[in-house]
Amino acid sequence: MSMRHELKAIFSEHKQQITDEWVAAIFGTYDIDTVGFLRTQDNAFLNPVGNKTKKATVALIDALLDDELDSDTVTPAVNEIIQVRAVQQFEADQAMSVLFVLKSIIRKHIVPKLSKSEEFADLLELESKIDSLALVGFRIYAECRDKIQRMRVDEFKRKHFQLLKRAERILEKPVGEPES
Amino acid sequence: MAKIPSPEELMQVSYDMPRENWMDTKPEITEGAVAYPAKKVTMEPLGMPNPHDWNPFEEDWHLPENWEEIIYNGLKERLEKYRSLKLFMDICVRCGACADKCHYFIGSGDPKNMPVLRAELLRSVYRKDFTTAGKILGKLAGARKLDKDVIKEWFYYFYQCTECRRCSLYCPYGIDTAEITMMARELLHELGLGLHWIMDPVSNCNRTGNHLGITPHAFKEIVEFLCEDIEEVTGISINPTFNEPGHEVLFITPSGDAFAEPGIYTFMGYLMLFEEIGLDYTLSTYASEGGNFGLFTSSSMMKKLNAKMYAEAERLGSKWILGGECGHMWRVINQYMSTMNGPAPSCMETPVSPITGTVFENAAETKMVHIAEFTADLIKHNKIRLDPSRNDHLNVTYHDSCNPARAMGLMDEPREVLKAACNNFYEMPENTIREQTFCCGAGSGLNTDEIMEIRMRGALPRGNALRHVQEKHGVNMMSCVCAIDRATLPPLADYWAPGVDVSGMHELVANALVMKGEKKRTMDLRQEELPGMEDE
Repeated sequence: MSMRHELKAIFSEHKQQITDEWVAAIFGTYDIDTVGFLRTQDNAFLNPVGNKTKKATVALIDALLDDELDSDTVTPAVNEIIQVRAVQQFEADQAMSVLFVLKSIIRKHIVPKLSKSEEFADLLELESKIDSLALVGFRIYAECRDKIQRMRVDEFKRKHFQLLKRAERILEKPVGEPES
Repeated sequence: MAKIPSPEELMQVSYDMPRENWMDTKPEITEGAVAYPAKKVTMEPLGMPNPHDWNPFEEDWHLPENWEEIIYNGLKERLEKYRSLKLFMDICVRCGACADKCHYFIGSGDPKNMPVLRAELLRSVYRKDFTTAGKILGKLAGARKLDKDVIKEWFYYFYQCTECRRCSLYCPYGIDTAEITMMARELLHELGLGLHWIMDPVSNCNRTGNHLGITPHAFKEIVEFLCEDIEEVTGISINPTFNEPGHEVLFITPSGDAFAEPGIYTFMGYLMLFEEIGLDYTLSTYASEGGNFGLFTSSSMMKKLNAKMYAEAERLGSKWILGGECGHMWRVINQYMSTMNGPAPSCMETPVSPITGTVFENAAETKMVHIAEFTADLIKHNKIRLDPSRNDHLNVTYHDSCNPARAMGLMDEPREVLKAACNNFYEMPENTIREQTFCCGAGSGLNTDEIMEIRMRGALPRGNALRHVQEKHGVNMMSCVCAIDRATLPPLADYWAPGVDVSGMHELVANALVMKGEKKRTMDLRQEELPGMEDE
């Protein structure tokens, strides 16, 4: 079921403010001395975190306005936000909180404008979509953390590539296999 | 009952000015936030000061009793010895030009990773003890008293600097932040505090000449494996000499090229190139390491580990040294070797390419030529045949390794070589290459797996630029001229631009190299089938 016209209109009207506040909230999770840099350096290669965040939030807000969440749009955008936070100094809940906080920001702007119970039902539906974003985020976060662990193992193997090969020649069997 | 925080509470957003001054905030030293410490058994035989076992995750780091005096004297000695350090301590006006240039700052958002603030960690202590204003005015003059938390903060942040010198490029005074980090690390070493990942290779180098501690016979055997693989791919049998006196050239490369994947394919590339041009060279099983983790330890350790290069050239009577693809090795050679361990032995001469006759005047003092220059010269004079179509399945970009780019200005030669060996070459964005190149995120002895998250933060700017060319041009291979890069870029690419592989430059050269008497190439050096050239 798609969002009814009224809520969509209210949401669209506040889109810019909601996006700006969301970006500000995400930047706010960094030290105050860093926020200015994240906000003002526009070059995508000199400020990847700031630029990824700005682009991804715009894409996600637009996606929420669509009738259905499109994975091809949503997944890369959530990835831009979560992949960075998965290796920064955040606990898992802190890393993920930036998706959930969107609910509060939207409520702040939209609830005062709602009058009919159908519109509240629409808002709940919109919030369910944010839950779906959070689930995508959860999957990405878990994949990132798994990958980090795998990278540790792969790195060890690469580093000792020739030594393992030599050991295997000496032992005449693959390294790690038990004695027969 | 412990209340579970709401998303808002978790985010702790606050736009108030911080209650504490930066001097009073302390890093949280938890698992993953710092690399593992060097062990006493490693430090002691090296003659490192105050060797002791300690654990950074415990409160007490077991510093020597007179640790304050050690730091004071250590800093005093270095300020007297290095006029540069004194200048770097005094002349910074905190303009902030460097602040947002550090890959660690960009990727972590931690303000103490701004090079200016990182340097201030040392500078504040300097002001307190060595400047009149700091002695009288204290905090007002940016001075602070040394305490044990300051030492912990140094350990935390000076091992989140890869000495890449990108920030120095933007400093209007030319302050070399890498040297500030080097001094801070030396001071930490005075207290017996070092990293396992740095000191273990140092110790191995000290014993056997290379980072993994490989003995001469094993080194020889491992190179012979590579020769077997070359024969498999090309049909050509190569038998390099080891420790044989009387050859014109001594070839020295980082040991990672001999032991680690994907560096080994680059080593195979060197051997194939030398065979094809008939270079009169030998390999040393003692100078079996071009890398020098002494650079990340102390000037005396750097000097000690570097000495083997000239010693072997003298013992083997080499006229000059050809050096392999490495990064920090060239910072040591280009900026320190000749004054540190020079002059070069009397048997050595200004390097001349025996194939083209080019005189490498730039190496007149060190007698040591970077292989990128050597090969670029061969290509310029049309002395080797290359079939770049063998690399047509690759869309290649080039990562400028920090040290060759910023410490020796080696920027055009690798590009000339790659463009000759590959038809599809694409540059990453301008503000991320050449002098402005971004670090791999794990140079200067930080490529250890326990700090993989820190590395990936530092790797973000490079990874982001890489993903851009991956999306725009279909880049699937990042080439580089540094053995540390060949170890650190695969995880970087895996995390930030999955699907991009990493190679040394000479791997791609050798894939394209048409050798006299070779069989039809159906495989590349990784023994993977060459698309379009499979066996019929």
